Amino acid sequence: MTMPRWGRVLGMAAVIFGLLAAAAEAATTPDAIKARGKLLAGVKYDTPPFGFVDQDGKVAGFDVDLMREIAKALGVEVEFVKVTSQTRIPMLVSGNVDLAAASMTHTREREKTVDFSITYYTGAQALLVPQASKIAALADLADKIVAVQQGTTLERNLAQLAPKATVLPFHDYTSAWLAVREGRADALTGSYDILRGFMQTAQGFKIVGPKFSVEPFGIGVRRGDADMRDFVNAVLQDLWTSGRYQALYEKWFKLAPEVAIEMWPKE
Amino acid sequence: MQYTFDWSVIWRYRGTLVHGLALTLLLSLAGLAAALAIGMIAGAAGASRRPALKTAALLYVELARNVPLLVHIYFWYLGLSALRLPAFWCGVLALAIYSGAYVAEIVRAGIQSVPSGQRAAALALGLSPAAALRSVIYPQALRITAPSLAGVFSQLIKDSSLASVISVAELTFAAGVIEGDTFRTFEAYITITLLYFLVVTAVSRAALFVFGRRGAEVDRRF
Repeated sequence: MTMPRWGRVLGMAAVIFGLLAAAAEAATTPDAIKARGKLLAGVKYDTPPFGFVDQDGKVAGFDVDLMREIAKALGVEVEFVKVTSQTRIPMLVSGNVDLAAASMTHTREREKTVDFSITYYTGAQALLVPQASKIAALADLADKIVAVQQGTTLERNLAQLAPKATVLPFHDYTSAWLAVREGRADALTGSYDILRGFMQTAQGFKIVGPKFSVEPFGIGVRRGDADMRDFVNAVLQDLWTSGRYQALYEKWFKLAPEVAIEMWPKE
Repeated sequence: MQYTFDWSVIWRYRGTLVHGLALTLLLSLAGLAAALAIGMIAGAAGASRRPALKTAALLYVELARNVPLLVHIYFWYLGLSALRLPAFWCGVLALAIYSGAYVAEIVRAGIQSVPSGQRAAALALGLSPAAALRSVIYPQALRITAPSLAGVFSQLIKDSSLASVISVAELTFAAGVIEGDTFRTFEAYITITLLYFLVVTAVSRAALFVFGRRGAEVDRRF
């Protein structure tokens, strides 16, 4: 069970500390991380298979592994910092984390607040329903209750594509998933791979219908921090060239990547 | 910190915020009314001389108070999901039962703090026990407990933010909507912090004023 209240408390604490912290920005962010010897990576702990706590109690996932690769490229250790939807931006902006890899869909609106790396994962939205459900596609959602994570692109997409469905938004994925398991909602909508992650943790659920919407995920850096963004972009491209990206993708999603990482010529 | 505040999002999402604030007030008011009703009954039972009533009141107070409010909320929403109670009413129930226990303790202490001679005098004057409680004991107890009750009320409004976890679109939830759409976490949460502060301050001041004055009237009458 996640504790949204603590997330909010942390968020507000981050606001206060952030405002108090002196803005001593001398070197570039990658240089500052190297000097510190540690990358502070903000990842989620409740979103399999991107960032979650595995059976050994350690944080694992696709986002987590990508952060390890970026730390390796910087030549530093990595320290994972748990972020939630409420805390990721305050933590990033105040410098409590250097990067936010928190299964964030890149939108133009969000672009006004933070900067994003190139797309490192392209998600598609799907529906998760109980095995016995008669829901087979978006068209069957009229008068049904669909749980979703609050304030997400997913929520908007669903409202547009299935206007007759009742959208039931929750702070986090876990609560939305719990609502479906307890019969509070008829379906859960979310990124296909995240739904697959949830489906593996319980019996009696299936993913139905064709995938809809495009969800390009980006790694968040502080707005205007071109040095850090460029560094992350270069690492992502190098990972694709070396095949490491594909290996990690298959490790977590059990299939080859459908969308390639955008490549820029070296010169 | 390199961050440029953009308060225009707050204006853009004013509808969401106003709706959230309205729901927070509705939720708190409904919770408040029910908590008061429960608290008055349980408090009177706790102060009564009948062991069965006393034990029942004690049991309720301990059960309700010693469990986190978040668990109360999940109990009604997910634990009893078969009942399919609307999320809003799950929030009201949880708030009322949780805060009602605090009200009960305050009411019980208030009643017990009124000297027993007052009750004896009222009965000697021919008032029924119920009338004595209503016209003699309660007004005095209310005045004594006014500051504590005001404290519970303001606590209840703040506690109502927890209902956001079961998808009740109150003020805290509204901040989440803005955060999700725009990533303007600072602006959203600073705004709702100010709104909570204003509402809670206004309500606790008003509660002190109303209860305090009723107490003063009693003073004048006796």
